Amino acid sequence: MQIHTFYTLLAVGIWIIVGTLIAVASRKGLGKGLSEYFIANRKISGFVSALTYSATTYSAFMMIGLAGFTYKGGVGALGFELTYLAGLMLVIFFGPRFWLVGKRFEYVTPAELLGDRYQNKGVAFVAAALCLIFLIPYSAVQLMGVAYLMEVLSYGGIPFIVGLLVAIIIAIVWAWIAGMRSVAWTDSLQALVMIITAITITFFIIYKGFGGFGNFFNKLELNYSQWLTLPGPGFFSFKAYLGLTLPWFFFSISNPQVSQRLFIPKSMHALKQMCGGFLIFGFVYTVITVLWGFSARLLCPDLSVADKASPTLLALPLIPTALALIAMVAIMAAAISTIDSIMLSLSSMFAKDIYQNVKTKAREEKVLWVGKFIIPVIGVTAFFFARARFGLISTLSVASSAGLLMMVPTIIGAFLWKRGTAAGAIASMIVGAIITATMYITKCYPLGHWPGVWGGITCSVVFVGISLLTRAPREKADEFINYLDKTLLEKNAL
Amino acid sequence: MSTPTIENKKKNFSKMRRGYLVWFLILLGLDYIIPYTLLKNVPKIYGSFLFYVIWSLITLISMFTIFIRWRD
Repeated sequence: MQIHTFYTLLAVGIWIIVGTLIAVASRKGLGKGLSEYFIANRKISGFVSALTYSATTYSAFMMIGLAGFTYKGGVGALGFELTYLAGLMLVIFFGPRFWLVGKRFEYVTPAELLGDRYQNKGVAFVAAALCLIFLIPYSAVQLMGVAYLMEVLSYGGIPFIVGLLVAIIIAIVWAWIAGMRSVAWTDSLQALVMIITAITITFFIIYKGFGGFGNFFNKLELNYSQWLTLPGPGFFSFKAYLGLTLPWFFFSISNPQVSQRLFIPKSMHALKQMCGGFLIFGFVYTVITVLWGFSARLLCPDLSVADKASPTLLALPLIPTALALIAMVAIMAAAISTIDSIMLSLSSMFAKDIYQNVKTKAREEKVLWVGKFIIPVIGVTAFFFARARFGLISTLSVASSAGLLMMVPTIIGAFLWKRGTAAGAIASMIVGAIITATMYITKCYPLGHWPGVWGGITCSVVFVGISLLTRAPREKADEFINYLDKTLLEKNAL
Repeated sequence: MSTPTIENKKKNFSKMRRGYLVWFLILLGLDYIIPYTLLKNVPKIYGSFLFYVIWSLITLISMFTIFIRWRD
């Protein structure tokens, strides 16, 4: 028992030291200003952009949640996550648009882009507030995941509260040291650890546990044939599949920690590398995670909680302790790389879109100071949410992607519809978020459809309807969209 | 003033945008329809599992064909 605690601490300790050294090294050449701190002055290489995008997107949800979905519902989990990956088609279309206007109008946050495009600070304020409301509970759940994992793998030797503290301190320090630079560099390390470990363990399980892929698939067909179909054992009914995939499909443009990364590549070439790298990473990581879920189904069929599929698999005697510990670090890496990116993104939005919109005369240094100050505040808030283990946290966390989906009509309208207005944007985000959160909290699913579906339809109708009844900022819309039309042609982007 | 070449390029882009939009909508439609209909009673690895893998690879390759042309 003690040995497990010791090795768990040792593995975590080495990872913390290496990550912190990388974060400190990233400070070299760090300049001044908001743009430098929050988006690394738009100078990140394609390789690092791809890795930070991957590490930020894929949280502990993959190895814990998606493996659990597979364990419980079968192949639908693969379809669900690959549908998310297909959502990258939105980045292929909107990515160059984000990048170009970000550079042209010097946007630091996605909410700032919306506020300027609709010529209304209220739009930026509401978008930033929505992100804060939905993403802090989401971060809290990630922290809880790390703490549970450490507790289980150390056989209780590392108490839940200690795991929480370790996770939040690392996330705060790595985000705070050099902002986007330290986050992107440590993310790169973490993405590599995540993918290499996942591939290694998968081959280990398949060959050592089943004697190869042929046997593995045969056993699956023989014992769990229903898990290879949809709706399968029942979890992935068509309505559930639609309700789950719809918000996730739009994740790449609705979640600020991800869409803000569209500002950071140093060139179109780097943006191209980011997209290509992420697509390959995402495909491999998804298929592998689903294989973990199926392996757990075959090797540990009697779990009462599906989310324990991966931790139980790692605790099997066929996995050497050293490999299990590296896997634990990889899952922690997935969680931390998501949390620190969310904290940095939320702090930039608090500083730019909330604080600066209230204190309009604040100097840049002061705004940056507020942004840096708010990083630990957000971290501590997430920590207390996680510690309290409120039931509402998990509800809001599940609701987060659906809640942020309510920003999508406003975002798409900003790039494509000159007639869109600030009133339409604000009303659609608020009405959509209230409807979605209320449905999740009351568990009211009209006609069996999930809240994201109803919220998505409502906010789209509200955005278009109110925009048509109010006055659009024509001058800005012309400047913004005409600039894109012209420059996209030059960059050969659709 | 726009030159004829730029106008042509604009028209081509507009056509390509529409073409890709239709293609991606077809792909998304297949994602939701095929596993719940044609493959509903195929409890084999070459059923929905293989479908999703191939479907995803086709979608990814389609995306590559777009962004591979981006230039500085």
